[in-house]
Amino acid sequence: MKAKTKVRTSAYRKRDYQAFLYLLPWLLGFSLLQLYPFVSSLYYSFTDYQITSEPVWAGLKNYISLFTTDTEFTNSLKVTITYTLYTVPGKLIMALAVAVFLNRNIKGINLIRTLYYIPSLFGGSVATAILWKLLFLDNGVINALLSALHLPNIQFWGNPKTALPTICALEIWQFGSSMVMFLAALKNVPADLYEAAAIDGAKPVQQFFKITIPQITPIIFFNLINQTITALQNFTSAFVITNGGPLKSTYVLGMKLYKEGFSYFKMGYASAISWVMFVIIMVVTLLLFRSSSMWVHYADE
Amino acid sequence: MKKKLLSGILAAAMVTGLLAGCGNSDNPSSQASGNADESSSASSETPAESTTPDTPPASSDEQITLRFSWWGGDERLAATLAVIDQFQDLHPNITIEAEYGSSDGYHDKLATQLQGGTAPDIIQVDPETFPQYVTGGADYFVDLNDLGFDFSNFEESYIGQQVNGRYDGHQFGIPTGLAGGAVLVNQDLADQFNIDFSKQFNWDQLLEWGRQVHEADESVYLLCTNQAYITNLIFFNMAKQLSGKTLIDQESVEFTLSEEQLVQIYSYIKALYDNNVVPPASYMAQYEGDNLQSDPNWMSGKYVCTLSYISTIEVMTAANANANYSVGMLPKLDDSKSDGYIVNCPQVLGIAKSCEHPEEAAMFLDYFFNNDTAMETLGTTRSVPPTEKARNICADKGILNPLVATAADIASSYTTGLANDKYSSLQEPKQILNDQIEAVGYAQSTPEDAAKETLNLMNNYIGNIQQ
Amino acid sequence: MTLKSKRKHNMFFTYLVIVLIGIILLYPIVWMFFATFKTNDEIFNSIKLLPKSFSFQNFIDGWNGSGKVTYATYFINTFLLVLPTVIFTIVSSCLVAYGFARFKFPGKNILFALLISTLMLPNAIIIVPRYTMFSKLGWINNYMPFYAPAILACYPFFVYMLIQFLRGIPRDLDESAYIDGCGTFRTLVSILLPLMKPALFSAALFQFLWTYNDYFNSLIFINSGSRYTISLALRLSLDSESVVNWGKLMAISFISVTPLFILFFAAQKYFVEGIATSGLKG
Repeated sequence: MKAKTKVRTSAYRKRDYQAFLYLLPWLLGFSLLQLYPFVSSLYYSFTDYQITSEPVWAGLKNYISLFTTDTEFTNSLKVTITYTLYTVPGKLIMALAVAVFLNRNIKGINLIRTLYYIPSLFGGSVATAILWKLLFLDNGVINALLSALHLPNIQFWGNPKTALPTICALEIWQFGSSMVMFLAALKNVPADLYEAAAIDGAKPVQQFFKITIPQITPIIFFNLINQTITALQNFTSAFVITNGGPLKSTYVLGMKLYKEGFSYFKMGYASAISWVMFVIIMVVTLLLFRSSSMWVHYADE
Repeated sequence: MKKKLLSGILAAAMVTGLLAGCGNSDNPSSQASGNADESSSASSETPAESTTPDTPPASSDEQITLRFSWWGGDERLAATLAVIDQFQDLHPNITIEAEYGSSDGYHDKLATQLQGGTAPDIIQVDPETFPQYVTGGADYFVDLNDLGFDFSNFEESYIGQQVNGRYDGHQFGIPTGLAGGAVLVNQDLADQFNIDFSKQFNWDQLLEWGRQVHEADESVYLLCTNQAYITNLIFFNMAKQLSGKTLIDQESVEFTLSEEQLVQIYSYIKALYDNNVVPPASYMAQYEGDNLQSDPNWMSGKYVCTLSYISTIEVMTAANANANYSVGMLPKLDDSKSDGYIVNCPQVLGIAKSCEHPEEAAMFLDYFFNNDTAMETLGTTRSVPPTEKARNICADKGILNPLVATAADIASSYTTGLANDKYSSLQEPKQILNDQIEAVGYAQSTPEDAAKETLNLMNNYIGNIQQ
Repeated sequence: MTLKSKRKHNMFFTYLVIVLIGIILLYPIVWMFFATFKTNDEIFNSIKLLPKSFSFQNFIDGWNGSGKVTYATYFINTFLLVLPTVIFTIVSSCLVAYGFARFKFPGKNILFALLISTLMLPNAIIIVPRYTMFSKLGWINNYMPFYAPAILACYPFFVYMLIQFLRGIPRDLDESAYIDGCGTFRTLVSILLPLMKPALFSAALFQFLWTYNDYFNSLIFINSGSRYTISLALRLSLDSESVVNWGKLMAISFISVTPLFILFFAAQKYFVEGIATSGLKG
C-alpha cells in the first residue's frame, strides 16, 4: 500500500510503462512499414531510379519535370482534383439531404436505412466497376432507358466530357454509409433544442441551419477529411472501367503513379508523384483542421 | 484463454516443424510426405525415364518446383495447364506452378519481379519488351544453347531473328508461334461494294474505299479497328514504309521521323476518321485494347474488314460466325522504303537467370516445343505454331484454321519489313504516339500540332534515355 | 379532418420519395442479379428487367472459369487472405488502442500525433519501397504483404476507432480491477474486451469489407493464378480474349458480392452501430 502511494506521486506510475508493451506491434509497424517506406520514397523522389538499377541522386529534376514538361501530370492533377470536388461534396450533400429527409417518424426506417446502405458494401470492388461499365455502355441499359423515355443517348465512356462524371456517379451512388452516420448524428441532436426554437418561431429551414447543421459538424468534418483522402487516391474504377481514357479525361493521379512506377519502371519519378499527392492531402487536411475551429462544434467544449 | 493461445502457437510450430522436416530429410521422407502423390509417382516413374533418357539421374529424388508465367485467355490457359500436367506425369519430381494473368499489367509486374529477383523460372515475354531484359547490360535470361536445347525443329532463318529470341548469337528466348498484321475481310460485304483485297493496294486506296462504303451505306464502315491497332498497325507500319527505319534508331538513339512525315501520317489518320473509314473514336473507346471482337457492329457484320493480327483472326471470326471470310493483303505506300510488316512471334519463352534449376526448366521447354503430344495439346492457342512439325500436326488434326495459315503466308510475303527494336518497342514512346493519335481522332489536335507535340515529347524522352 | 388528410398526403409524398431513391440505389444491383440469367443479346438494347428464362448456365460457366481453376480456388484464396488479415488487425489494434487509451507515458502526445498523422498517410506513397522490401523478404506472391501490416497494427483507422471507443468506457472500471489485483492484461481481457465487443465487431466487419474489395494491393503483390483473389480473377475475366460474355461476367460478379450481402444482413446492427460510433466521437 505504501509503495503504491509513493509511485503515484511521481510523474508516471510504474504500471504505465507497460504501455510500451501494448504499443510494441504498432511501434514496429510504424517504423518498419510506414516511416521507413515513407522516408525511402522521399529519398527516391530525388533520384533517378529505374527499376533495373540503383537509385542515382538527381536533385529536384523529377519535381521540375513534373511541373514544367509533363503535361500529362498536370492533367492528372486536374482530373484528380475535379474528381474530388465532384465526389466528396456530392456524396456528403446526398447523404446529408437523405438523412435529414429520413430523420422523422417513419415506419420501417430500419429497413430503409439497410437498403440504402447496400451500394456502400461494394466500395471500390472490381465487381461494381464491371457492372458500372456495362450499365453505361453505348448499347447498355441506361441508354436503353433513355431511348424508352425518348431522350437522346449519351456516349458515357466515349466522350471525354462525360466519362469522369460517370465514374464520379459510381462513387456518389455509395453515399449510404455517410448517410447512416449522419442519421445517427441527427438522432443525437437534443429534441429540446428544436422545441425551444419552435417556441421562438423558427422556421424549419432556420432550424436546419441554426440547430441541425451546427450540432452535427463534427461528423461532417470527419467525413470530409476521410473522403477527401480516399478520393485523391482513387484508382480501381478509373483503371478497370476506362483505363484513364478517353483523352486522359479519367487519368487520375493514382493511375499516373501506377503507370510511371510499374509500367515505365521509373520508381524515382513515381515517388515524386506520390509526394506531390501527399503534400496535397496534407495541405487540404491542415486547411480543414485550421478552419475546423470556426465551424466544427464539439458538444463537450 | 492464454493457455489456449499458447497451445495454439505450439501446435502451429509443431506443424511447421513437421513440414520443414519433410523437405529436408532425404529418401524415406518422400514416402512419409506425399501419400496422395504416391500412386501417381509410382505409376509414371518408369515411362519418365524411358522417354527422356538424358534426364540427370541425380535430380529424380529431389522435389523441384518451377514457376511458369504467361498471359492469355481461357483456351490458352486450359491447354497450357494440360501440358503442364502431362509433363508432371512424366517427371513426378518436378512441380510446375502456373502463374497466369491478363496481358494488361503483366509486363509491369514482370519488370519489377526481374529486378527484385522474384521472377518466375520460365517466363513468357512479349518479344517487343524482351530486348530490355537481354541487351544493354541487362542480363536476366539464360542462353538456351548453353543448356543444349534442341532447336532442330526450328528453321534457322526464323529462330535466328532478334525478335524471335536470338541476340548476338545467344538464344535467350524461344518463339511460340507466328504473328503479324492481317486484314480479315468479310467477303460478302467486300463483294457487295466491289472491293478486292487480294491484290496489293495502297493507303489512299483504302481511304477511298472507306469513303465510298460509308457513303453507300451509313450503317457500314470499311475498317473495324481501334486506337491501339491504329497505333500499332497503321502508324508504325506507315512510319517504317516512309523512313525505312524503326521509330527510334537503336544505334544512334535518334527519332527517325521528320515533322513532315509525322504530319503526313497524322493527316492520314485524321482522314480515316473524317471520311468515316473507321467509326468515331468515341464509339471505339469502349472496345479498346484487345476488345475489338466485342464491338456489336462487328458481331452484326457492319464492317467490310478489320485490320488486326493473325492471332486475332479466330477470335474475330468466332465473334460473327455468320459471315464468309477471306484474308487480304496489307496496305502499303507506293514508294515505300520498307515493307514495314514482318512475321515475328506473339511471345517468346525464356528461362530466368534467377532460376535455380535451369536444366529442369529446359526439360520442360523441350517437352513444350518438341513433344508431339504437347504440340497437339497446345494447338494454336499461341498462334500458328513456330515449327513445321507442329504446324503439320495441327493441320492433320484440323486445328490449323486455313484463314490463319493464309494470313501467315501473306504476312511472310512482305520480305523487307522491320521489327520494332530496343527503344521503338518500349511502352513509353508508344504511349506518346497513342496519346497524339487519340487527340487527332477526337479532333482535339490538328495533325500539325500533334506532329510538333510528338517531336517535343520524343526528344524529351530520348534526352532522358541518353543520360 | 383536413389536417389528417394533409398529413396522409405528406406521408404519401414521403414514401414516394423514399421509394424513388430506393429504386435509383438498388436498380443496378437488381439488374445485375437478373443479368446473370441473360445472354449478351438480352443484356444489350433492352430495358426488360426480367430474363426470358432462368437458366443457371452463366453461373456454371462462370464458376468453372477456365476449366482447370474454378472460382472455388479464388474464393478460398480470398478468404485465406482476408480472414487472417481481419483477425490480426483486430488483435493488434486492440492492444495498441489499449496502450494509448489507458496509460500515461513519456512521449505519449508525440506518439499519438504520429498515429493520427498516419491516418492521412496515403497507401500510394509507401507502396514502392514496401514492394522492394517485401520482395527482398521473399514475400511476393504470398499473403504476407497483407498479414504483416495487420499484425503490426498498421491500420491506424481501427486503432483510432478503438481508442475513441475505449475513452467512452469509464476508467473507474479499470481502477476497480486494479484494486482487485488484476494486471493490465487481465483488465483488458476480462473487463474491457467484453465491453468493446460492438466496436471490435464493427472494426472486423469493415476490415473484412475493405480487404475483400481491395484490388490495387492484390494487383501488385500476387502473381500466381493459383493464388489469385476474386478481384484479380474478375479483372482477368473482363479481358478474356474472346467476345466478352457479360451474362457470365455478371454471374461471377454477383457470386463475388454474395458474401458481402450475407455478412451485411447477418450483422447489420453492427454495421450501423459501428458507423455511428466511429464517426460520432471524432
